[in-house]
Amino acid sequence: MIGEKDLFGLSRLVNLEIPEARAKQVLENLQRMEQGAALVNEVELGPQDELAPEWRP
Amino acid sequence: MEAVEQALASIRARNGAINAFTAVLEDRARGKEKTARGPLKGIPFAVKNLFDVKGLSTLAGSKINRDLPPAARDAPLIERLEAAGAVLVGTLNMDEYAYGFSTENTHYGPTRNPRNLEHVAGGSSGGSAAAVAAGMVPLTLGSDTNGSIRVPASFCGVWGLKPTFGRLTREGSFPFVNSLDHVGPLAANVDLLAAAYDVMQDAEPVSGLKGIEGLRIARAVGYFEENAEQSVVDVIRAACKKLQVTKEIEIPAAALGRAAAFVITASEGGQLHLPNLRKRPDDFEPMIVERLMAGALMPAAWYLQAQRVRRWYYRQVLKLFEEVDVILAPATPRPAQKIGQETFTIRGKEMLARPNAGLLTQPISCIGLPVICAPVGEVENLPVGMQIIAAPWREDHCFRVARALA
Repeated sequence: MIGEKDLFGLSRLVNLEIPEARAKQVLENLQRMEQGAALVNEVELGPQDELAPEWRP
Repeated sequence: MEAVEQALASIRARNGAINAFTAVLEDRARGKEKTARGPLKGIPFAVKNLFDVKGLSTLAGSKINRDLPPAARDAPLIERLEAAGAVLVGTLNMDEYAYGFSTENTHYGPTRNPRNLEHVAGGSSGGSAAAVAAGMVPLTLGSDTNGSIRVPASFCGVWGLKPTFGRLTREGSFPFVNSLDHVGPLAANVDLLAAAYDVMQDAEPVSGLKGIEGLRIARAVGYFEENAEQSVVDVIRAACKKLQVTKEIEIPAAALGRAAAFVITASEGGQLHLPNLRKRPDDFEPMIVERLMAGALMPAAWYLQAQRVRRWYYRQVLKLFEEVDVILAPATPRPAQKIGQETFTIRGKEMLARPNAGLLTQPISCIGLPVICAPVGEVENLPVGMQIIAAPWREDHCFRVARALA
């Protein structure tokens, strides 16, 4: 599961400072998102599920 | 007294207790009423305050947006309604940036449920549903990304339509999640819901449609019953009995659809507000700021996979419409929780109240299906709604079933 170290690494990458007082709540939210991502990661997908066909010039 | 004056008087009398309106436009309404013509002549309406209204900053429930310049013109949907004779009387409270299901807004105060003032109105279009339920106006506009028309419609006992994704223009509305945002009407009755929808859309009119002969209708089981209180399921079954619906159907992978919507929402919402999260985080709604920050940090791989799964899920659900035309399901897992209530229990499982009010709406809006939320009964003296779900672009099917219930 994503941890505090990852949180501050990500925050540096997107240049978003996470104040110490908010870190716990942000991390808990990110962990819930990680759980959602883990669920959708289990789906076996095919080429028809790619995003590209929706692009229009 | 004309309907507009009645509405203004009702707002003066009731809004103090309910807190649905964030602005009342008395002068504008009286001016417009004089020249109003068309099928909605003289009908007062109000809009969620994420719609542009000429001369007002588009708040979207936020403190930050007070700094925006006033809108230069009305949102096109407001123009359409006014061209048909409806009269805009005000703007309505909502969860900040539409990120919530309860309209417990720290900046503008909570909107209270007219049926019981200790309870939430639902959200994020809480002001839109409460204003109709309280009889202040018969018609409002809201938006629905994950359930924000249907949850408050269910909690307040009014009619709400979330049309097919892309059916109604979102121009002139403040975005939340571009991949998922819908806009639509809420109304005191089906006829007005249909009439308002017809003046905003460009396809075949739905006003006057009736009769469910030939429609293949089924009740959703599985996820949609397992994630609702038995008392709510009983109300839905009674409504189905009224329609003589006996067929059952399971929407496959609904939990995955919800998970995809959750990930997409968090990422796009966080990205949208990233500049202000960097500059002025303390000005955000305290209940959402950490969620927005977390979303802004989300790795792209999670987001992209969720978008792909959304397409996969869409294909699974679309197959159902070879067997049925309409699916009926509860709109909310239970009636409105109390203001300030952090958790509720669904079938013995305790969960966070605010995000989980959308348990049953998210799997539907994730793939843009049209839905009417119909007030079909009560649990513990509070309303609960039923989702009338159809295949993409088949709002006509939703309206035929809605009218049979009205």
